[in-house]
Amino acid sequence: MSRYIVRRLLLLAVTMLVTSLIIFGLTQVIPGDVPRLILGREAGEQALADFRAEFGLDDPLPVQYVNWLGGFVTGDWGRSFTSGNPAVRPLVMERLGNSMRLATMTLIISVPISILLGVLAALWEDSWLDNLISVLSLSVVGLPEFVTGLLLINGIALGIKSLGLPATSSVPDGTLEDWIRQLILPSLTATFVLLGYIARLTRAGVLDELKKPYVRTATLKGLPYHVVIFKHVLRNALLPTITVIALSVGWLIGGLVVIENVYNYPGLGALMVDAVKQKNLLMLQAIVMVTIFFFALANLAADLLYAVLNPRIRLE
Amino acid sequence: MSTLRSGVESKRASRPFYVRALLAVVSFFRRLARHPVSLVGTLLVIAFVLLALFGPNIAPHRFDDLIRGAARQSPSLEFPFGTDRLGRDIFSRVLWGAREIIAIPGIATAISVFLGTCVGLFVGYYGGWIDELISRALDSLLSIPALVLALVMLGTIGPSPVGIIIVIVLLYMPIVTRVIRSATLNIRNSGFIEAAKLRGESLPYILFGEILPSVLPALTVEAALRFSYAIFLTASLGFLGLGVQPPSPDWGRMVSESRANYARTPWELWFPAGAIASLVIGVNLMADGLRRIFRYEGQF
Amino acid sequence: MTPVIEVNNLSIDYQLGKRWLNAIRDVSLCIDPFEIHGLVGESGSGKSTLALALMRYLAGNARISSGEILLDGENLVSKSEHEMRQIWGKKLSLVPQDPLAALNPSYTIGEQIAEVTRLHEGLSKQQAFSRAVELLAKVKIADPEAVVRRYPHQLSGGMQQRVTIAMALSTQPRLLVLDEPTTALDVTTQAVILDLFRDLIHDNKAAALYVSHDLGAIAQMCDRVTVMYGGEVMASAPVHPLYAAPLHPYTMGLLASIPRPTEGVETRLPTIDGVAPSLAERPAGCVFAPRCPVALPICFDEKPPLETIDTGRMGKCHRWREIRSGELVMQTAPLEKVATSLPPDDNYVLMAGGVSKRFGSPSLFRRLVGGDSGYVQAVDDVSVRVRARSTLGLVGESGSGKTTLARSIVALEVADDGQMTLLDMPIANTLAGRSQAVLRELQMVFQNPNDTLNPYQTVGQALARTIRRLSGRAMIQTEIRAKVNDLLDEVRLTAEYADRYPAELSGGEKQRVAIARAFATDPALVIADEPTSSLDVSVQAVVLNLLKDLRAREGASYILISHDLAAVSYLADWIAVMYLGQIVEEGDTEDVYQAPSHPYTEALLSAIPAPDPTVQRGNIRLEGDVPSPRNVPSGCRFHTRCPRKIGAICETQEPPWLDAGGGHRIRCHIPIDELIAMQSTPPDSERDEVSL
Repeated sequence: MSRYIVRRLLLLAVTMLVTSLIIFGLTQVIPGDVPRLILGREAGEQALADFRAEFGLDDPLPVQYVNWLGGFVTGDWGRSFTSGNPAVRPLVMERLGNSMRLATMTLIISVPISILLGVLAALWEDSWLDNLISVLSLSVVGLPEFVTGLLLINGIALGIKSLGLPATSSVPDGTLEDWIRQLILPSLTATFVLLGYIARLTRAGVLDELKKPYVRTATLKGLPYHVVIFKHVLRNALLPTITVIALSVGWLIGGLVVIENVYNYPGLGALMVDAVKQKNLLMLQAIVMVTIFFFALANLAADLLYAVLNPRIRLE
Repeated sequence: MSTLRSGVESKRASRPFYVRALLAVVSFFRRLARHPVSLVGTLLVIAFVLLALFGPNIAPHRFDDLIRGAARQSPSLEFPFGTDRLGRDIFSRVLWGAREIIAIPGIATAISVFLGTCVGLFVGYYGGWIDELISRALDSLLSIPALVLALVMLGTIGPSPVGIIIVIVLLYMPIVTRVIRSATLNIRNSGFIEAAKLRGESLPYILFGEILPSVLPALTVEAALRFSYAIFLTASLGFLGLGVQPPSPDWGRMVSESRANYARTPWELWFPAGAIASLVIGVNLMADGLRRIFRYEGQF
Repeated sequence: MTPVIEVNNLSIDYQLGKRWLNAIRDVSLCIDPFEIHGLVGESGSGKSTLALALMRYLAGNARISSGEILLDGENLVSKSEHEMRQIWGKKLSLVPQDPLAALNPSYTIGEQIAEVTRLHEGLSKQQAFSRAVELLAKVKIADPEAVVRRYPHQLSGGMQQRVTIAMALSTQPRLLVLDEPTTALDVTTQAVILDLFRDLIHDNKAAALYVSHDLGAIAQMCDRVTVMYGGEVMASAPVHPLYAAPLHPYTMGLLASIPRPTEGVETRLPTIDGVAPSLAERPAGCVFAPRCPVALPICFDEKPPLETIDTGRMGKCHRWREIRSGELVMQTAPLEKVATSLPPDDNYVLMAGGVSKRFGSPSLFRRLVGGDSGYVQAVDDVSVRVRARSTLGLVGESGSGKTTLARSIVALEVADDGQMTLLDMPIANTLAGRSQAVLRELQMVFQNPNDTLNPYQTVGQALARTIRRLSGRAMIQTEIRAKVNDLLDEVRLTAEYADRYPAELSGGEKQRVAIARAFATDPALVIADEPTSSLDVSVQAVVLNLLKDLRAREGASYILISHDLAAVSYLADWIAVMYLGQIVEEGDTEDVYQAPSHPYTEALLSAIPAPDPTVQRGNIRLEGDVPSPRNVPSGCRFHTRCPRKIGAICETQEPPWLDAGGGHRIRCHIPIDELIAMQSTPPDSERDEVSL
C-alpha cells in the first residue's frame, strides 16, 4: 500500500511537470506582441523594452520556462500584466478560497441527494420512480450551466426574494448567513450538473452489485432486507460513486467557469476568463497550474480512497 | 455481447443489401420505441439535424436583418420567437444558428471518434509498451480539465470554428480511445481473434474486420455521448464569448447577450436557451436509448 | 421416518416479456434425515432453479404456480418473505457454486461467518468471532485465527469453499443445499473438499441436497439421486440401483456417454443426439422424446406419469417396464469401432525441444520505479513429440503450464526458448516468422465455445475466410461454398448452418464449427485446448467422437489439453502429465494409468470420482494448494504436496528422469521398483486424518 502511494505521488509530480510544459507552450503561441497589446499603441520602444525586461520576456524560452517553474514552486508567481502590476499569488489565492467555498457548498447539497436518488432508482428498477429519476437526471445532466443558472435566477430567485439575488458582483463577506445565501444559487446550479451524473452512476453501481451472488448469500443467511442493502450492497456499490465525487472536486474548483460567470461569483474560473481575455500571461499560467494541481490532487484522492475502501487493492 | 442477431435475421441474409439496411433501420426504431422517451429524444435530434440542413432556407429573415420598426416585439404570429432590441427576428436567428451548433460539435465528434477508434483498436490489440506510452500520454491530456484547456487554447489561437473543433478533438479523442481500448481489451484474447492470427491475417483485417464489429455498440453509444458533451461545450464557449464570433448567430452568445435585456425582452433568452436545452436533452435521451438497445453499460 | 423436506407437485414459471413460461413442471422430491440427495442434470435442466426454490428463493421474475414445499411438515410456499428470513440461515443453508463471488469482497471471513450466529443465535460479537474460529478449524483450515481476519480474495478456491460450508453449518441447519460446490475447483482439491463435505454433513446430522452435473461426484457423495431433464424429474432412485441398472433412457444415455479411463482407443462413445429444449420450446409429450432413441409415437403425444417403481424408486417413462424386464435393450456399451485408420507411425509430426516461456516482464513504469521482477515461469524447458496420426494428451491442473505450452507451439505465445520442427522442417517461434504453409498445417480448437466464433460473422463466412486465406490458391465462390458444405458435413451439421450466426448455435454446435474451421486447411496437427470442458456430458461425447472420427478420416494428429484424465485417455495414445511448468511423467496411455506412476499422477488418478458408487476412490489426497508459479519450490516442484516424499533430497535436488520401459518416463527420486511396490499399498493415511 505504501508503495502504491509513493507511486501515485510520483505520477502526480510527472503529470504536473508535463502539463506545466503544455501550458507554458500553449501560452507562448499567443499571436501578436504581448507587450504591445498590454501597453497599447502609443507606448514607446523604451517602455516596451522595459516591460520585456521586467517580465523576462527576452530570455530564451527554456530559461523562461525554468525561471517560471522555479518561481512557481518557490511561491513567486510573478506579477499581473494589468495596471498596477499586482502580484499574482494573493489574487489567485483569494479566488481559490472563494472557489473552495463554492465547491464545499455544492458537495454538501448534491452528494446526499444524488446518492439517495440513485439508490432509490436502483432498488425500484423500472418502476415509475426509476423512470422519472432517469429522465430527470438525463435532462439535467445535459443542460449547460448557463441555462440552468439563468432558469434558477429568473425562475426561482425572482419568486423567493429572501434568497437575495446576487445580481451584482459580490465578494461574499460578513455573516455566515450571508455566506450561505450568496453561495446557494451557484451551488444549486453546480448541483444540477453533478446530480444526474452521480445519481446515474450510483444507480448503475447498485444494480451491478445486486446481481452478484454474494447478495443472495446474504439474503439466504436470513439477514433483514435493510441489512442486506445497507451493509452488504451499498458498501460495494458506492465505491465508484465515491471515486467520482472525489474527482468532481477538481472540476468544482477550476471548472465552474460558466457558473461563476452567470452569477458574477468571484471564483477562480471567472478570473481565468478575464486573464484569457486580457492575455494576462502569468496570471493565466498560475490559475491553470493551480487548477490542474487540484484536478490531479482530486484524481489522486479518488484513487487512494478507492484503494483504502477496497480490500482487494489495499491488501495487494 | 449484444443480441443484434435474431433467428429470423439470418434467413434474410440472402436479401439485397438495401433491403437489409432498411429492415435494420425499421428494427432499430422498433427497439427504440419500446422506451418512448428515447424515441422522442431521437426524433428531436433528427428534427434538429434537419433544421441545421434547411434552417436558413425556411427562415423568414436573414440572421442579421434589422427589421424596421419591429424592435423588442414579443412573440407573435409574425415573429414566433419575438424580436430583439435591434429588430432582428429571433426565430430566424435560432434557425440560422442551428447549423453551427450542430456542425461544429458534429464534425469534431466525428474526428474524435474516428481517431479514437483507430488508436483505441490499435493500442488495445497491440498492448505492450506502445499501449503504455500512448495511454500515459492520453492520461496527461485528460488530466487537464476540459474547460481550462478550451479557454487556454482559444484564448491563444483565437476563437474560430476550426479552433473549437481542435479543442474538442483534443479533449474527446483520448476519451473515445480509452473506451475503445477497453472494449478491445475485452475481446483481444477471444478464440476468434486467435483463430484469425493463426490463419495469418493482417493487422488491419484483425482490427477492422474482426474487432470493430464487436466494439460497434460501445462506439455508437460513446459517439452519441461525445456529441452531447461537444454541444454542451460549444454552447458554453459561445456563452463565454469564446465561440463563433459575431455577427453569426451563436445560441450560447445569444443567451449571454440577452441577459442584460432580460427584464424587457425575456423571450430573447427563452428561445435560444430552450433550443440548446432541447437539443442537448434530445441527444442525451438518444444516447440512453442506444445504451438500452446495445445493453452497453459504459461511462456517461 | 418423516422427511426433512418434501416437495409435492411443484411447478415454477418464469416471466419472459409478457408470457409466463413453465420452467419446473410437477416436481416431487423427498429428502430424509441424514440423507445426501443428489440432483443431477445438464445445463438448462432446471436443477439449480429447483434447488433454490426448495429454499423458497426465486428469481424476481419467477413464481411458484402450484405445489407445496414442506420443511418438517411446514409449508414454505405460503410463508411471507419476512417469515422465510427466520428460516434462511437457520434451518436452510446454501453452499454456493462460486465461493469467491458468493462472499462479500469487502468484509473479512470472520465478519461474514459471525453475522449468521449473531443473527440466529444471538451471540455477542466476541462470541460469534470465537465461534467463527472454531468453525474454520472444523473445516480443517490451518491457522483459523489468522484466516478469520482475512478477506475472501486472499484465500485459494478450496479455502473459500471451506469457508462457505463453515458458514452454512454454523447454525446446525436441517437442510443444506449444495449448488455445484466443486465445479470451480481442480480435481485434487475437489477430492479433498468432497471428503470433507460428506464427513461434515454426517457429523452435523444434517440432510443435504447436492446439485451437480458431475455423475462421478454424485455417485461418490450421495445416498439417493434425482435426475432432471427439461424441468422435469426423469428418475429418482437410491444411488446403487440408479447407476447399476438405470431404467430411464435418459439416465442410461447419460451414464453411457461418460468417457471412462479403461476404454480402448478404438471405441466410440454412445451419445444422446440433439439438444436440450429451451424454455419456450418444451415438447408437449415426454420432454426427452425428441432425443430418445427408443421413443414411441405415444411418447410425443402424451406425458408419461411419474410412477413409483420400487420403494424409493420412481421413473417417468412410458417404457420402463420393458426396460426392466429386459425386452428393450439400449445400446449403451461403447463398442462400436471407429472407421478404420492407419495406426500411428513412427514419424513425428511435431517435435518441440526445450520450450520455455515466462510471463510478466516488468512494465515500463516498474522498470523506472523499481519493484519485484514478478516473473512467472509458465513453461520450463519442456520437450514433447507428436507421432503422425496419434494424439498427445497434455494433462495437468490449472497453473501447470499445459495451455501455455500449446499456445507456444502454435506461436500464439512466443516461446523464450526452444526449437520446434513440423514435419521435419524447423519452424519459427513467432507467427510472423511462419509461412502460410506452416500455418496451414497447425490449427487450434479453443476452449470457450462462446468466443471461438466471431458473433458478427455467419458460420459460412468464418469457414470461407479460412479456406480462402490458407488454401494457397485462388478459388471461385462456388468452390468455396462446396468446401464449406463439405466441412459442415464432416462435423455433422447441415448446410443450412452456413447462414447462421453463432448466437443461434448451442455450445456443442459452436465447438463443432470451430473444429470444422480447424480442419478447413487439412492440417497435420490440431491442438485442442480443453475443447469439451464447458460442454455437458452428452454433448462432450459427440465432440470427442467427432475428433476421433476426423483423426481416422483425415489422418491428422492432435495435442489434446485437458484437466480431465478420463476424457484425455479416450483420445490420446500418449500422455504427458504437467505440474508447475514441467512434465513430471510421460508415456503410453495405458502405462501412465498403471503403476509405476509419478506420485502426482497417482494423486490425480486417485482424485477422479468414478461414475459408479461401487468403485471406491483411491485415498490419496493432496494437501495444500498448488504453489504460486512466481515462487516455484526448490528441488522437486511437487515436494510441498507430495504424499510420497522421501526426505530432504526432494527439497534440494531436482529429480532425475527414471525409465519405466517403452518410453514411459517418470521424474522422481524414488526408484521405479520402489514406486511399484508403494503404489500397490496406499500411503500412510494419517496425514489427513485430523479429528473433528
